[in-house]
Amino acid sequence: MDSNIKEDTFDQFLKDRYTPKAPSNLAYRIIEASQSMPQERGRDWFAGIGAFSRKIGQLFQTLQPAVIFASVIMLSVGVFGFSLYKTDIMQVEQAAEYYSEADEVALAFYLDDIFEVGY
Amino acid sequence: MADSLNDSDEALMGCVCNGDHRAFSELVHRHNKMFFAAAYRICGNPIEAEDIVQDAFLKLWVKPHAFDAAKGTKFTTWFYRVVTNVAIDAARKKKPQTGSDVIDLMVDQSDAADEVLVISEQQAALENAIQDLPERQKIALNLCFYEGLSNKEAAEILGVGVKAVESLLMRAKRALKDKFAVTRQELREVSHG
Repeated sequence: MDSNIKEDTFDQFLKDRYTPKAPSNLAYRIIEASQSMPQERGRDWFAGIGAFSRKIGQLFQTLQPAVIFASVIMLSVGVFGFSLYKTDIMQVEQAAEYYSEADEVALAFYLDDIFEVGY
Repeated sequence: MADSLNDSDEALMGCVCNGDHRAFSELVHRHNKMFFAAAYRICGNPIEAEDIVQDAFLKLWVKPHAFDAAKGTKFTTWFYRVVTNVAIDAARKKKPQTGSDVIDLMVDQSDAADEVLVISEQQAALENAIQDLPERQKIALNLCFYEGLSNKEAAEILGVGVKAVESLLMRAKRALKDKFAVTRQELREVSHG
């Protein structure tokens, strides 16, 4: 019982907390400020895409060092990787061509041998 | 166009989504005082509370679709969350206030409003003690105790479970009690004037 009274009186003490009144012109100021602000159209995919592309544009316009550095690294890795890939393909093609030529020569000799034997 | 005076807050929000400025004005007139008080209780500074309420209402005007009536959330519950988030952001940007700053601000405000106020030492001490509470405890106390929201609504605003809100409230009250070390006799004196 004692603790209940204590709890109630403590709650009453908390309830007596001072809170100032809002200025009378606050609503007017908020409404006035909002009049010069355009609304964003919600759930508009085109607006979303537009905003995203603007952000990307801004990112590159500001030319932030980190962005430039990251772009250069990515580009270098891309070019280097592609050149390695290209070299591998060329080597395979050359090898295939070489072996196929070698096969043709061997076949020619073989056929020559056969015909000679035949005659 | 809204038949402003009779419409519910949620219906007015629907009109605001369609660019109805009269509906927005009605919402501002209805709720600016209540949310000013809520903002003040978080930041403890009347001038900053004005900025917080203004920022929150302007966010509402610019991005009204952020309120989704289809989820069944009450406008006021949702807007408490907006005001709370704006207040938290503002608090993180500014330097911490000392206790005497809060008392000075309370006196300044009373002068400005031409109010005859007697701000007792005890009230100022209470304000300081509440402002010194950890952020989440303070917000839980404000929402449940001063704004009269249910624990469930407070949980929704804070983004935690109901049990967590109960725990935050309990810890906030315990911390205040410890701070004041109030005896039963002293409390009786306060309650009886």
